[in-house]
Amino acid sequence: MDLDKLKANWKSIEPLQSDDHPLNQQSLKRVIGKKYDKTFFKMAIPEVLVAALYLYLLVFILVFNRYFTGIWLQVLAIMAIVLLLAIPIFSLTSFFRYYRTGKLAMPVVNALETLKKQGELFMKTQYLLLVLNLILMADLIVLVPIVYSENLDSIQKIVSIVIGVVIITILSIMIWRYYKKKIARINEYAQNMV
Amino acid sequence: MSKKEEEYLKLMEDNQNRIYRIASIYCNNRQDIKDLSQEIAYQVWKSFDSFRAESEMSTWLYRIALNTAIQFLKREKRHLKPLSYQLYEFDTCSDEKSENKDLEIKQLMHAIQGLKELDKAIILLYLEEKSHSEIASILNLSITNVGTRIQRIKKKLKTTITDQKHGSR
Repeated sequence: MDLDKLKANWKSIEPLQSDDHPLNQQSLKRVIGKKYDKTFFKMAIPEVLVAALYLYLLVFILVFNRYFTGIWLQVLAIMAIVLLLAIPIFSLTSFFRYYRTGKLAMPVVNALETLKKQGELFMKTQYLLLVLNLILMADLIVLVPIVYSENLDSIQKIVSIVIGVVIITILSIMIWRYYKKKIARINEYAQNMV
Repeated sequence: MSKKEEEYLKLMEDNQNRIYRIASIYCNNRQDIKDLSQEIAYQVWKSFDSFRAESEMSTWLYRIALNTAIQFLKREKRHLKPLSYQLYEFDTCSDEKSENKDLEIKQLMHAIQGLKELDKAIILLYLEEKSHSEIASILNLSITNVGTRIQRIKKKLKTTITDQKHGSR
């Protein structure tokens, strides 16, 4: 079958059951009554969950600060710092992930080009944040043992730095792999557009 | 009900099957088609105030629908389900000839879904019986470019379907 034959049949494509049409009066009235963009909630839910987890861990560390000393305190402190850094990164990447083309009524080619530019900006931002994150984390590995130097002897300091390096290496690999996959998907999508 | 709401409902009533067909090109299962159709309806409602009579209502509607579909696909790509041809229902009888016709239509739809986003939009508008100048206006391409692209896409679809047939033998 060629395209012209499909063209002749094209308008017969309709929902299987007319009662179940996705745009029946009832659903359209719901659309009119909808006050908030559901995209905002999609974005906000993971953000709120991460923030809640972070706050929980912060309280956990503050409470157990009395009971944990030395190396365990340091491990928990590093975890809290990593999470603290993860929040702005997560927020920024979420923003780009859900950022939309401003005017949907613009011609399709212009919208596709805008999307492509957004993809490139998103990629650059993620790389920049990754590098920034690694520099800050490496800096903190050195700072934390100094802050808690009174509680640690030299062997504990070495062990804690090794643990810190291991944690950061694992996290870096995870973040790197995550970004790599995401960037590959953006590139694939961009190539598929025009 | 306000005048704006009445106008919107009228517009949607007139165009509900058109929106459904656009969603069918971009999505593979009934749930995704439903979600995308409703997303388009929502975006049309959100942009309703911004409509100016500079362009035709149908041009404006197609632009919003196509841009929403492309963004929806980008956002939901990971969650979209595999292809299912049970969605398409045509005015055919259940004899052998009609079954063959159905199969051919499904193969063609499959090939269209594999096109690039812009080509998919061009073919969709072509199937919607839009003139070359209307397609050019909706997409922001030159009329000549539209004509050239349609010919190229037709050839591509033919090759894809031939390959599919050879592959299935």
